[in-house]
Amino acid sequence: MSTHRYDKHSVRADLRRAITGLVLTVGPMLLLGDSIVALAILGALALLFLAFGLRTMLRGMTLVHVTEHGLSSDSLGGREGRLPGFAPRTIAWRDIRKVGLRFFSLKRDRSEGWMELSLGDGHRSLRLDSTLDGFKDIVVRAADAARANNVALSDSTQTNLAALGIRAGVQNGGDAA
Amino acid sequence: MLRYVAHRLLVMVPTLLAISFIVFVIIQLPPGDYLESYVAELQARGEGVDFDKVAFLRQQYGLDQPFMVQYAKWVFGLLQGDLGYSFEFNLPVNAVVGDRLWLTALVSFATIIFTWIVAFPIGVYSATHQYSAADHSLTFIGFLGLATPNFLLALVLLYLANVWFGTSIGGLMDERFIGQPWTLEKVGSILAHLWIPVIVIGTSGTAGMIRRLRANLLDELQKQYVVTGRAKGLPPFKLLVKYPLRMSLNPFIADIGSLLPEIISGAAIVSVVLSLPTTGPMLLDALRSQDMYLAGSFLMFMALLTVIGVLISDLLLAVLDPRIRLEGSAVK
Repeated sequence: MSTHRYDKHSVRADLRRAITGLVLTVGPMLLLGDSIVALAILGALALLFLAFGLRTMLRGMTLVHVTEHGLSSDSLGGREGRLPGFAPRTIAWRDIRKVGLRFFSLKRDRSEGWMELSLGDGHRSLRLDSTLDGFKDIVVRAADAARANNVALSDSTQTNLAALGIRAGVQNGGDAA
Repeated sequence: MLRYVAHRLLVMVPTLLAISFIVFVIIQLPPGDYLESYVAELQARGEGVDFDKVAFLRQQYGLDQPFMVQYAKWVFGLLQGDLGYSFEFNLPVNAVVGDRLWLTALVSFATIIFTWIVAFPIGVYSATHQYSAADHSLTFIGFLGLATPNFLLALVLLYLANVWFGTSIGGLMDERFIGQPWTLEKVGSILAHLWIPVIVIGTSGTAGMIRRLRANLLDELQKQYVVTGRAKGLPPFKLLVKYPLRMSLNPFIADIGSLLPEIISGAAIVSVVLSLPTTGPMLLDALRSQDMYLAGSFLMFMALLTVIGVLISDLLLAVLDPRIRLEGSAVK
C-alpha cells in the first residue's frame, strides 16, 4: 500500500489565493453602499472563494491510499469526529467504469497547467489533481484498470495520457472527459 | 474545476488594474484637460473667461493634482461604484450614464445570440452541402453581409421604413419611456425595438461567422478520423455532431472575448444613425471634449466586458477541450 498527500506549497499557494479572493470581494462589498447588483455579484464571488478555500483546506488534509485492490481518499486525513459527507471514498480497480484525465491551463497556448484525474465506479466518483505526490503512478494504475475493464476513454483523456507517456486503453469512445 | 475558476478569476484582477492604468493614461494623453478645452471654446466664441473660476474648478475637480493621485482616486472610486464626475454634464458619471451601460450590454448580448443562432445552422449546412445550389446562395448572401457596412444597412432600413410604413425605426424604446423608471411596458417597448439594431449590428458578424464555421468544419470533415467513422458505419448526424462539429467550435469559443468589444465599437456609428441610447455616441463626445471620467468609465466598461468574455471562453474551452498541448508542455 502507498499513501499520497497533496504538495504543501501548492496547497498554501491556493489558500493564499482564496484569502486574496475573499479580501478582493468582501472589501468592495463593505465599501459599496446600495448597489444591489454589485453586491450580488461580489457576494457570489466571495462564496466561490470561500468554497475554494474550504476545499483547499480539505485538500491539504487529504490522504490518498493506493492498494492492490483499489484507491481510497480520506479528506480528513484519518482524523476523528467525522461529519456526514466526509467519509473516506473507496473505489476498487475492478469496479472502475469511468476514467477521465483533464488538463487545466491558465495560458492560452496550454503550455503550463495541472491535470485532474476523475475515477468513477457508477456509484462513487473521485477526483485527484496532479499536485498529489505520485500522481503519475496513480494515473498509470487507473489506465491499467480502464484497459482491464474495457472502459472507453475520450479523445482528450487519451491525448493527456500520451502527454504523461502512458499508453491509452480502449480507443475512441465516450465524451470529453 | 473550482480551482480553475478561482485561479482564472484572480488573474482578472491584475488584468483589470493594468487596463485601468492604460485607460487613464490614454484619456490623459491629449494635451491640456477639459477646462482648457472649455476656455478655448469660450474664447473662440468671443465670450469672456473668468480665470479665477477656472482655477477654482481645476482645484475642485482635482485636475491640478499629480497624475498618480488622480488615478488612485479614480480607481478607488470605481471600487466603490463611483465612476467620477462628468465635466460636460456637470453631473456624476453614474447619473449621466443612466441605463446606457445596461442597454449597451443588452444590445451586445442580443446581437451575439442572433449571430450564433443564424450563423450556426447556415454554416453547418453550407459545409455539409458544399458546392450545392443552397451553399452557393448562402455564400453569396454571406459575402453581401460581409461587404455591407452596418451604418449603410441602418440608413437603408430607416429609409425603407419611412417610405413603406411612414414610421421611424430609430431608438431603443418609445419616446414616452425615455428617462422614465423601469416598468414592464418599458421592457416590452425595448424588446419590440431591439430586433432592428440587433439585425443591423449583427449582419456582418453573422456573415463572417458563417464563413469561418464553414471553413473550419470543411477542414475537420476531410480528416482521417471522419473517414474512419463513416467506414465503421456511424450514422452521419451522430458522426458530425460528436466529433468534427465539436472540434470546429473551438475557434468560435476562443473568439468570445474579442466579440463583445468588436460589437460595441462597431455599433458606435450605427447607434448614432439609429439614435440608440447606448454608450457609443456618448463615448465619442466624451473623447472629443476630454470629459475624462466619462470616457474612462465607458472604456473600463468595455474592458470589463472583454475580460468577462475571455473568462467565459476559457471556461468553455476547459469544458469542451481539456487537452494538453503536447509540445513543450509542463504539468505542475
